[in-house]
Amino acid sequence: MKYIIGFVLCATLIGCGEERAGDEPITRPIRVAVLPDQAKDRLSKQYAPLIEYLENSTKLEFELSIPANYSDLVEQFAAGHVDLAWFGGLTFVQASQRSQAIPLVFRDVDIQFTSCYLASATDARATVRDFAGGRFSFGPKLSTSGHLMPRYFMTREGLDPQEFFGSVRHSAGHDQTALTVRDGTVALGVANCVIVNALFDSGDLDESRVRIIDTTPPYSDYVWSVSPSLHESTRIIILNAFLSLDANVPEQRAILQAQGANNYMPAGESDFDVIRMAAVQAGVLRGTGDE
Amino acid sequence: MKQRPIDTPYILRYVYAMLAVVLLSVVVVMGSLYVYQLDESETRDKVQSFHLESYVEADLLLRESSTLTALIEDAIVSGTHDLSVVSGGQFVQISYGSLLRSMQSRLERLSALQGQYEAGATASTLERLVNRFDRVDRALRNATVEPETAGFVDNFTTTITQFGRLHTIAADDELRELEKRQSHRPRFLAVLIICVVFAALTMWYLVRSLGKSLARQKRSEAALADTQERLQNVQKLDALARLVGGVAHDFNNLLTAVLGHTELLRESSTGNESFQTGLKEIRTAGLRAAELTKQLLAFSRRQHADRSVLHLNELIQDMEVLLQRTLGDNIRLTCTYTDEPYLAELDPGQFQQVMMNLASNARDAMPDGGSLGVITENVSVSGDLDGIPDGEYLQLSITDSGTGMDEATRQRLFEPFFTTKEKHSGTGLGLSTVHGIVTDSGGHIVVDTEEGKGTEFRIYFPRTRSIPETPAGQSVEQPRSQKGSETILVVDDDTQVLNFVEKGLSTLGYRVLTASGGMAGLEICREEAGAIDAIVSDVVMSGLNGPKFMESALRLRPHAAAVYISAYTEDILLWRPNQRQEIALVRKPFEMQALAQVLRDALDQFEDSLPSSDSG
Repeated sequence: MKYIIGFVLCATLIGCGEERAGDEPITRPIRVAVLPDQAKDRLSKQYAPLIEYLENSTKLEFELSIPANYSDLVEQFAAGHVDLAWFGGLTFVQASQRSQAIPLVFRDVDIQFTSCYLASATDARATVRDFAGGRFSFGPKLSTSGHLMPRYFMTREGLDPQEFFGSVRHSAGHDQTALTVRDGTVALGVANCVIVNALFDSGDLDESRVRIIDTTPPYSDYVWSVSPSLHESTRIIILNAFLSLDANVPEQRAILQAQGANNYMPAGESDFDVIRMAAVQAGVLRGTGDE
Repeated sequence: MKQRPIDTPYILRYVYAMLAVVLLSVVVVMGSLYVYQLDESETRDKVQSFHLESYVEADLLLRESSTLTALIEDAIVSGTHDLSVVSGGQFVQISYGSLLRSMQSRLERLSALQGQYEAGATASTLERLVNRFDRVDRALRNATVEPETAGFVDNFTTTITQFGRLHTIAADDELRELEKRQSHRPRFLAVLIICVVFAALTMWYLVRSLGKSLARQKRSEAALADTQERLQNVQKLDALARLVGGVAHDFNNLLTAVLGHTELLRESSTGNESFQTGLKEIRTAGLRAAELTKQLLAFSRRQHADRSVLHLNELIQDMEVLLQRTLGDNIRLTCTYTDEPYLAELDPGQFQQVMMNLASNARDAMPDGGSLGVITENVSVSGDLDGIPDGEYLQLSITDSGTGMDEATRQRLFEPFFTTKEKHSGTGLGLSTVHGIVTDSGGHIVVDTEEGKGTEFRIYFPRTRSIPETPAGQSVEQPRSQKGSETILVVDDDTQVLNFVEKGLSTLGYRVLTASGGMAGLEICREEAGAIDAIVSDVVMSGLNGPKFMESALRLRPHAAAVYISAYTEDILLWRPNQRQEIALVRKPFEMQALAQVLRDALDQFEDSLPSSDSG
């Protein structure tokens, strides 16, 4: 008898168990969290104009918070404490698998994102393969551009970092990686190209001391994504606000520049297929076959 | 014993019914969902083709926008800033006017496509695209490239890219959703099929359970009807038996008078031979009539079992002629007797009934003739023989070479009213009476039968070690004097019987006092000055019945001997055996000689038992 009831319940659940987006438009402030890939004050300063623009454009309230680390962001999102998050590629695919995060927009640069291999400007070696046996630094372990994708591409080229380099370490952030290369702590480092270029532009990194010797193939990285509990109409309002940013309008151009973007583009699930594959291969994402 | 199957409780049946309804509902819901999903798939296909079509238009628009950017760059590079003089260079010869018109028409087509679908991200982006095109169009209206124009076109191009991406993402999402649902479909179908199967099984079980229940109810009703029919038969026969018993009783009284007076006449008129012959004929007819009433009493089961220790061999030998007559000429009777058979204790009359019933049963089983064997044998039973307790028995086998019986018939053989004979041709009581008599006397009856091979009834009478009584009528004792001079009170509500007894006893020398009922009898007991030596009373009388009268009368006349005369023996049951003496019984019809003998015996025995001083 209990098996019959079990079947009935299963049938009912399968028949009716369709995941649904939030039913009601949001009335409370939208909670925003961003990937802590740089120093906290730098991030607060960087995102303040964007948050202000979003508030003016959507007539909604936004609250920005910066998690302690990459995992914290994924945890907070899974716990339902975050509505809108700026994820790295890896943290996004994790959040997507764990809590059905929906990709919203990314910067034009994120579509063809690359990681840069940095070496001392005085080092004559020209390719990554020339650094065999040397000291090497990735970015944070959960960083897409600082670790996951460079490792994925290196492995694809038949190069196992642990065996190839004399030592492998992980820095706390992309700027840290660049600084360890500059200071000679490591011979070779890999970091997010956008951040590296921003460091060069701001003068925090001196091109006479550090140079880019190679870049990875392009991949998608970084994405603004929303919680599935957010109502679709609210999601479209936020999406439109991002897509409407106009470089011809000086204030908005400043916002775009602060984000290292020329414009924002709509993001889709398939943009992260390569990262998903890399993450499964690296063992930091469960392979489900239908993700 | 076969156990009756337990009926499915009603509550369980309701649960099954509810479950069947629930499962069927689930099947209906899931079936609808499945159909809806198929329908939804079609809708999703349409939506996907909308997105792809829009994407293609957006891609063409993007190329035209790039061409426009090239024209603007040409105009700037050429230094004229006049679009009307540039034509797209060496490979693409196009005027900016026709380019703008083409872009305009594409936007209109995109708007038309979008109009067919609900508003969403693509709708608002298309709106933005149209606005930005208008800004570009306005900026290029006079064909002059202003400093901000390139920025407007760039921005327009970005928006086209956004628009195209939105459509590719939406199409991709639709595809993923479709694949996801299709991947669920086999599981969905499997669950649907399981639900259908379970619903069907539940329904089948429910219907089967109800069917069984109905069949059981029908069987119960049939059994009830059968029992009612049997009860009616019993009631009918019982009523008939009462009627027959009553008639036989009255007949016995009449026959007592007829036979008695005939006897008296025979004794008083010795001369005329033809008169004597007439009286003899009357007596013979009376005796035959008495035999007939005896049979009627047997049928009405108002016989009393007078068990005595018997030699069955002798009894059967006496019956051989009667048995052969019952069987008819075409059935050969062979009787084999054991030497020195064990003695058995039973009523000889009932034994004769057993033999007659079995013989007539055998006769019916052999319509074309055959043989009937009767064998007596001393047997010692030990171990489990047909459920018969260990011990010594006189075994009586009655074997016919008839048609035999099937197992079903054998099992019901001793049931009252069970008969294989045609309706109304048999009572169905013969073998049940046999069974009753045998078991009543402590015996056992076993049947061996096979269709076409005949039947054997084996009756086991337990051996008794008592000394056999001298059979009635075979007394070796010489008849004693029946005469007397004592005072006898005769009580009977039948005047003719009363007159006959009075006359007969008076003739024998007795002083006879008569009373036509119990109350009158008691009156005489109280008022009669002299002694009353014996009281002869009928048993069944209107008013005060025999036993009650006798009880009171013997209290008044404790020194009187007592004799009952009765038309049927069951009357004796009315007698409460708390009397100080056993009261002899003379069955009607009787001849005076029989009554006189019993009365004389009673008087003599009673006088012997009393102290001489009490006499008188």
